[in-house]
Amino acid sequence: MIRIENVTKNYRGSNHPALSDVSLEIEKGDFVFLVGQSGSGKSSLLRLMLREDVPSKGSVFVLGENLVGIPSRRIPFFRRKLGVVFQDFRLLPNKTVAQNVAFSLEVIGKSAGFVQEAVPDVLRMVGLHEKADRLPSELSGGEQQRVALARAIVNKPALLLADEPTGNLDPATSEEIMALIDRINQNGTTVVMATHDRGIVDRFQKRVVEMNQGKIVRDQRSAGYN
Amino acid sequence: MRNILNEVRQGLRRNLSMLISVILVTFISLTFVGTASLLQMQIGQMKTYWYDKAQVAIYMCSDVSPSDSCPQGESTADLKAAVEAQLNSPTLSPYVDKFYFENHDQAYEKFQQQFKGNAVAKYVKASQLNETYWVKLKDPNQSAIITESFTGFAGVEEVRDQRTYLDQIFGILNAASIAAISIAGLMLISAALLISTTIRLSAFARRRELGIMRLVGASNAYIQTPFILEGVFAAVIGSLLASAAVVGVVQVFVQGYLATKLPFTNFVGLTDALIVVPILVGVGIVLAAIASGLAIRRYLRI
Repeated sequence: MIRIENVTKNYRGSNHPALSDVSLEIEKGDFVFLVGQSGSGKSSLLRLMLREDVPSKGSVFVLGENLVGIPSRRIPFFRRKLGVVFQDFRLLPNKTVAQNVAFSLEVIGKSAGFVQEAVPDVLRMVGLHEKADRLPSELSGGEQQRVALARAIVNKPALLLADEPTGNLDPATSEEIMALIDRINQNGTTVVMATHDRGIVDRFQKRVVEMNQGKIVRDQRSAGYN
Repeated sequence: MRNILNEVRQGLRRNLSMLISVILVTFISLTFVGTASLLQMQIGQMKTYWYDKAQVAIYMCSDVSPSDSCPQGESTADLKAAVEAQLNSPTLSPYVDKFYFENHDQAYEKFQQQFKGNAVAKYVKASQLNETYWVKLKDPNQSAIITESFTGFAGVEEVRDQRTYLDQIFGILNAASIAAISIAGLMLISAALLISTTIRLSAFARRRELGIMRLVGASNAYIQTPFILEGVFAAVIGSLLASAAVVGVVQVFVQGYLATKLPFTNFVGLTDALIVVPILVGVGIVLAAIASGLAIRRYLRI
């Protein structure tokens, strides 16, 4: 599913590499928490998996694609195979909930018929079908993140990447979002989630990859935050 | 496709003032391009027309000719016969289409006609005007043969190819059209820059949307097309305005005014203007597509 081999990433203007000789393998169906302090390299790693960046050294394989050599016109097609959510939701403020989800299907050329069927389905799954016609500004943070999750999974991706999805949410709301992500994982989607939330990591007891100063310092199954 | 057109419409509405400025700049620059190409066509037409009519004049010596070329004064009948014999000789006759002689009285009459109302017409006397052999060549480009044969010939004051006068006029017209083309070039550059700035602003205003599009895997073509169409749309309107202006200038000014004032000159007409129209529209479209395509590329770098 994901294979990262001896990856080093240097950013211009910085002496320390953001990632230094990192290797990591993630199997199909895994649920992986990426933990570590800010600047430890979690986000850099996610950016490589999303092909928003290329490593300075080493190789990255995600969903059968070699992300170092992939031609740029193929990148959009690679991204259609995975879903992403972020701390800041990234919704379009002038589109309704349903339109936000539909947008991601329309821009990849899905038929109107498919959009009409898939959008209500996925909104029902995240529990927002009654708010389909609301604008993001009329929703709570948790609801907005559920819209973002709906958008990420509407295309039934094999992999969900989540960068601090609960970072802006209170504990109770975070709980709802985590329950949802867990359900997505149980439906067979591989989940890689970067987080700071100690409580969540401890309670879920999943695989934990801890990073520090651009290196993986711990990779443990059924583990807690520390 | 419906989505793409919708995006274009929104983009156009969003920065209407920029759209108008793009339209105006392409309009003006392409009008210059059109005018310059019509001027070139006009020069071409006049060249074929006038060069064909141009003759070589062999001016015979008169009483008032300078003595260094005409030491004997007025050419005698013998000298004129020698010129005529030379023109009819086997060496020159293959090049000569026809020639005729113009005596003092005929030259005077022509002069009076040309300078009608001018004060000089009153003072000039028939004997002061050169008697002339007007030579029409089969190929006007070969005037050098006549010039060389008769320069320094006894009784000949000067040999003059009329095309040398024409060349001056065409030189001026040519310079004017080159100036118009340079202005057009500068304006096309500024039009291209303006289009790319507009598209960049438009992309910046929608960077959030673009970011999401890229995340969910919209293809580059899908993201690019609305912006390129936006630029092309503005340029097409500008080039259509320019086409209308060019056709208007030809219809109203050239055909309606110049052609009636100068009835013996062959001016560019509507057919020529209609040849220029697709060129203008084509230049507008290509320019806008390239400028906006390059501008949006930066937002697609992943």
